[in-house]
Amino acid sequence: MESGKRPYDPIFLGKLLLEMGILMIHAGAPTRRVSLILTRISQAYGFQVYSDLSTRHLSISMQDQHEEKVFSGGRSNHSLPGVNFWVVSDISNLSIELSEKQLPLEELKDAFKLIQYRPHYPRWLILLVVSFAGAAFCYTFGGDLVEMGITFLATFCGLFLKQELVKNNLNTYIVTYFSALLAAFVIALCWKLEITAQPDQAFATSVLFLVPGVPLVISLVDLLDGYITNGIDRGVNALIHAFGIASGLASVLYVFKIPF
Amino acid sequence: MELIEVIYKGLWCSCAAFGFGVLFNAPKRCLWMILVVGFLGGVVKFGLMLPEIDGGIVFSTFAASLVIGFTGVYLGNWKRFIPMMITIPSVIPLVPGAFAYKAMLGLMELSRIPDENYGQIVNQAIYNGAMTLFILLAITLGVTIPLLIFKLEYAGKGEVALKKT
Repeated sequence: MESGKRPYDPIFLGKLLLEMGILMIHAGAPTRRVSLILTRISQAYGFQVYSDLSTRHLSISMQDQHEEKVFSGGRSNHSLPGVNFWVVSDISNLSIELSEKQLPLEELKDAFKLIQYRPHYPRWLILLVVSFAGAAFCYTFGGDLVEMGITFLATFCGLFLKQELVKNNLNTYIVTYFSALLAAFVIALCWKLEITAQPDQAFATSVLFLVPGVPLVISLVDLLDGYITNGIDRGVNALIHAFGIASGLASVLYVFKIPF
Repeated sequence: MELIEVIYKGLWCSCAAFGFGVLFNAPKRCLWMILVVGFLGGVVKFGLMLPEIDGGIVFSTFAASLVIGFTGVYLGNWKRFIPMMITIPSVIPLVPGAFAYKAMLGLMELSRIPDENYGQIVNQAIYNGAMTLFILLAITLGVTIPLLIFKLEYAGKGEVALKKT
């Protein structure tokens, strides 16, 4: 095949790859996974892709079979990852389908749009289930029914505030701090109202919905994969979140002078 | 009777894992796997921590996250999911919240003027901090070992997981 007469438009594909990559990075996929999926999709269309991945930026350059450069470009996303596994899963499955059978690029774009705009679970469901998870935590840490109840309430309030603040595009660490503050404040209030006498477990578990579990695990995955800078980036990100949680909790304990 | 308690705790662990699955927007078809894997993790952790076995919390957590890692990878490969989607929500119930909380309390206590109890507080804070760190390491290692050392990830038809990028 002569260059210039390619069956697929490399610029169209390149732009699509950039969109996919940045979406996956944003959704909290490990670096190797993103690189693997981009490679798989571009190979399905007969191109070789070279990617440079960071946790907020992606640049790729593509070559055709004759090692001729056909596309290069980059995308940045200023906001930090908001975890969305569904997107990663769907794009991954799409890439596997593509490596078995090529789709026309227009159809690929439509399929991608469908994934991109797929709604999350309904907000009330997330609130309820995560609050219930908080109560469940409280039980596994040795809390009783009353403590489970107030943990449910605290998690509900904290997560509600978090969702509201995220809508306003606030700094994510500030969001974490204020959510932890509110959750701990609810517990402290319950303690002041003498609903419970020993709210230790409730305090420790009410902020667990904020735990940066995904960055923490993926940080280590990236480090062990050899993407050291990305691993450190995610690790530090998780650490600052943990610090935000601790300071939110500490503020309440300090203000209310809770004696334990 | 203690065994029933362990299973009961496992059930609550699986509820917590489910909540985080929803929070991380895991696909609907893998939510039941999160329930199962989270339950297994809870049972292994609290089972090993029974006084008869007395595995110690770090080892129990490590064993539990290894179990979660391997079952998650197995289930994920079976139904074509990325294993991480199942394993990450499932390990979150193992997070050492109580240790982290006590470590933070200890650190706050250190801001006062030293007296004869000061050494005790330092010891406690360092102990709790170290436990938090080790448990977190155990969790992350347990989840990543099946993925990285054994390369059990599903990657399409007869495709090797790692390709030249």
